[in-house]
Amino acid sequence: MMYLFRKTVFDCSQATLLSLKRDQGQITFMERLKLSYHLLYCDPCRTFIRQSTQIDRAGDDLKNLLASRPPFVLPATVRERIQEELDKVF
Amino acid sequence: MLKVGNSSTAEDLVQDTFFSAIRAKDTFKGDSSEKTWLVAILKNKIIDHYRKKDILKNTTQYIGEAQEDFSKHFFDASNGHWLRDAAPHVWPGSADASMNEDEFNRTLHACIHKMPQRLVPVFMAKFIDNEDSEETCKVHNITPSNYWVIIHRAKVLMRSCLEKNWFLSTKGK
Repeated sequence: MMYLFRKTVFDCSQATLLSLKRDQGQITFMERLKLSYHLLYCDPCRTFIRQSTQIDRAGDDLKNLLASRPPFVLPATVRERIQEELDKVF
Repeated sequence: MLKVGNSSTAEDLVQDTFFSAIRAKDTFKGDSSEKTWLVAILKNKIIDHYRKKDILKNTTQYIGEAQEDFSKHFFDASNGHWLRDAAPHVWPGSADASMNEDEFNRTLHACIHKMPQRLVPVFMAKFIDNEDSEETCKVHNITPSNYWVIIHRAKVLMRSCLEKNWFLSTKGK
């Protein structure tokens, strides 16, 4: 029992995975307890979580940036090629 | 293009989308704009592309096989702790501001390209499309537990890649 406790509660790989479940609101009560306990003493995992949130924000920023730019236009040669292919069939 | 990794595949998928759209034009009811309709077709084409490339096949087997290779770079097998060299370092205070630069986005793209192909579709569904886990599991036909393993591996790799190539390199400072 103690072995199992140590194995699951002190495992950083497991803890960081649980933190990602928590981000999406998909964490169970027991998992939340385990994670909170782990984070009491684990600095690197707390750092991971903070940085993970920063990276998510970078994803949001990238999405907004792509949306705000004029639509991506394929190069003229590619557009011509696609047009030719379409003309062949239709 | 970020989702399929190279421009020629992306171009082919766009071409396929037009073919399908013209063939199916009678089913287009005009409930949504043409653009929305075409984007929906393109999304399906991307999923089909993943299927054809076997990127979504035998996920459980892939996860099992790649487990050791992933873990040994980041975690101590005996106790699950971060390896000394792989443990997250604190980033400089200027981290947030530096993330607005174009150069940062190039690093971000490079890190996505470096990720194992098998992780990209699921990671991108969350990262860029903000799709919830249930939807992604359904579309990609994977179990929730595989979903979390993929999201976790991708995030650990992404964080490490950005740390090495941006936040703690001279570029990010």
